[in-house]
Amino acid sequence: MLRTLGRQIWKYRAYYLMLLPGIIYYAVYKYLPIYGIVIAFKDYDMLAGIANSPWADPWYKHFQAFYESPYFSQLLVNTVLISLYKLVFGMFPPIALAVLLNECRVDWFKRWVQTLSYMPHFLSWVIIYGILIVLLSQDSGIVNQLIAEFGGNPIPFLTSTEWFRSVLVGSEIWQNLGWGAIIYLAAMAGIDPTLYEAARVDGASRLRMIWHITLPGIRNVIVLLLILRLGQMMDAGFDQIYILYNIHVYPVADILDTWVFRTGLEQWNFSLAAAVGLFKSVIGLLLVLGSNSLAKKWGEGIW
Amino acid sequence: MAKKQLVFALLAAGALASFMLAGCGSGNETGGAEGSGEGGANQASAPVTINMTLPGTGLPTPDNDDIKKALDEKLGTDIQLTAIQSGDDYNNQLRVRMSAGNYPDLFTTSYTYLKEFAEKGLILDLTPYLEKELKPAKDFITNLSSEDIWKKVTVNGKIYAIPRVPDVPFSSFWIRQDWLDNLKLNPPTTLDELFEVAKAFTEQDPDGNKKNDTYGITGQKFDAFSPVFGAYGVGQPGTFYEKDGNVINAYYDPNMPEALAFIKKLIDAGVVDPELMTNKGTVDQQKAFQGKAGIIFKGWIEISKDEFVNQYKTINPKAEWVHIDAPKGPAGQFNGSFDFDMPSRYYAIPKAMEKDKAKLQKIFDLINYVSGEEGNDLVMYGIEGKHYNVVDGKVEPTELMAVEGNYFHLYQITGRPNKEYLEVKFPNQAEDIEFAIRIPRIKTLDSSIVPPTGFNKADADRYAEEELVKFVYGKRPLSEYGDFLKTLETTFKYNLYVDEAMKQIKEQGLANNG
Repeated sequence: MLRTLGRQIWKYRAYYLMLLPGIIYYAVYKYLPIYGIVIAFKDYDMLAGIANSPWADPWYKHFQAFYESPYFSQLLVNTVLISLYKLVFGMFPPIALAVLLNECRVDWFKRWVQTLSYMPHFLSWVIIYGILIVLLSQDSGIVNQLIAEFGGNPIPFLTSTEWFRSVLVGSEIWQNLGWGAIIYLAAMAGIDPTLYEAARVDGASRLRMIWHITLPGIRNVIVLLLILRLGQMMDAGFDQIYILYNIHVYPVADILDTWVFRTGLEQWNFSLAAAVGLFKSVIGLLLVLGSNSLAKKWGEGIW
Repeated sequence: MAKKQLVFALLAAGALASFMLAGCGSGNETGGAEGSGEGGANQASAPVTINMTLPGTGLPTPDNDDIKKALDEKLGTDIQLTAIQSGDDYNNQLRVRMSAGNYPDLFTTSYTYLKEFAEKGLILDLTPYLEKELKPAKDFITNLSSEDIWKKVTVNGKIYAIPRVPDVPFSSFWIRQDWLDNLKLNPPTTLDELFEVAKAFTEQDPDGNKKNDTYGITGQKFDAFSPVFGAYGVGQPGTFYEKDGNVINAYYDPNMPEALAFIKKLIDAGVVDPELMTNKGTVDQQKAFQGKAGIIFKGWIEISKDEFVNQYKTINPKAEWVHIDAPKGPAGQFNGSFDFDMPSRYYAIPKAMEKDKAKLQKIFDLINYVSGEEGNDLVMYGIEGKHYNVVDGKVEPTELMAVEGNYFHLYQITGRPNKEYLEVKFPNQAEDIEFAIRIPRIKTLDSSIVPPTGFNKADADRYAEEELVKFVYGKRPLSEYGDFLKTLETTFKYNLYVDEAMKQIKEQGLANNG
């Protein structure tokens, strides 16, 4: 058995050699550091190192500290809600854009739209924050000036608890619209063109073809991305929220990550930070496993 | 997603550090032995290497570093200064180096870590050296600050760091003089006048552009109202200070609700920038320069430095920002609060240096030299004839000082006479500098408080700030201030923090009473 394996490896040695850097990368940067998770169960002291730091007493001490924060439930609700909104509202716009681009027959227009729409993906949140201020600021923002022009009352988009989450979700969708569409476009390119030809011969309209060929053709990609995104349910977007939030909107905007940043990292409480990270990962793993087995029932699982 | 990467990065760094530990531990012992052998063999002729680290920017390469060259020549040393850009990175690297036993010979740290390092026996107790070997430096520091500064570097009764002379405060209220002139108003001297001027700035079109586009006051969060708190004798929210012979926390100051009520009055009248609580970075400064508000609480370094004067004069040549005294209130006038005794840096020496007497002496020589007249001039102004000239006994900077002089402060181990120094470096702002130093402030005492375990300061700070915002925006009646304190104590255990802070302030001997 081993000898066959050895022979197989030798036979395809060139491929394995090419694979090696990737394996080393994952081993060093993704698997070895898993050892560091133990600091979630220790009172980590950088001077003593990971191995010599004393064990936390009781072992769930840092999980308990997190659970006992007066903000625990608020953080959890905010994280899940913001993620859920982003998932639900952010799912269809890129698909719609991809379908539209796919149907677009004017090549230069298609290329321009595609480039422009995925450009925001490369902007950092600091820059987007600047853009949002110009647009949405309460007294100088363009949107509010328009509202005032038409006799309305200015809306404090960035400082009101009612509007803040919408701004978060909206700006995220805007940022990722074009980038998200790329993968769907790639999937559409893989659809057998003879299907379209056959449909056209049968007299199907464009909408018919979208509904019966394009969308089913990318269904597996949609499900795949959905499952992967569910795994990140507990990541509601640290960069974005940390830059956008402010004292007025903490009750609707403070998420696990921003709390960990303030409580764990800013105050050198790495054990607490690791404990919350582990907590998030476990939930993420459960969600991926659960959604995959659900998807398998529809015949679309990723493994 | 980035968060996850951050945690991974930290975990990875931790893992790597522990590997390095295994590797470096033994390697370093031999290194140390070699080092001392070298020192013994070469006698005093070879320069002694001194490794110094601190967070900072702008350090040139050693061969372009005039200060290093001058110091090395004078002291027979080879000073290797490492300046690490961000404070967080610096702390990380320092800890990794400490844990690997690879100490810098002289390094800066914060009080929290000073305490930890001292309790773990990693740094040298300087108490026995202060009266003899370090006497010149000690006198220099005490003369430029006060005896109290030594209490700020004391852990369990022993002095573990060389404190750098405290910074001086820069801030005060600034007002648009040309707006006052346009509206024929006088600068406000009391709280009521402050209210009236802010109202006039908002409602009477001070810039004469026939548009209702100005506010009275801008700034960042509660900092914007520092002199208002001061007028009620209240320190910045969360600070500790002495009042009527007792140390109190600002939240428990009986005048706090009144101060909040006045701020609420300002906000209710619509004379405060509505985005005051969300202004970040330099947004408020830019709003002020663009003529959106006429009063701001800021340091002169952010308003009257030449570059900023040029900035706002470019936007509006008629604009003129002038500093004003804090408004008088029921408790007098104070320009907010300031910790006058807080060392601007804490320099520590590793315990291991005790064994290398020759090197330790060189480190002391360096510290003493930059505290003496000649050495202090060097680290303040650079090389005479190159970076400055002395004309009629006065230091006159050359153009090269402005170009090259920005890193000199990295060598100011014990500090500098601030007023003199700043006035040489910023001759056009001399009056502002002097004013900011002279005006009264409430003296806070909490810069070296280490929060107790079991108390989550981040949560408590968030709650307190949130509720204060609600009070001043009228979302919670001020009559509930007592309930706010109760929640702060029960849910957020703020009393643990207050008790601990009181205890530490007492131990440090910072308060005159209680």
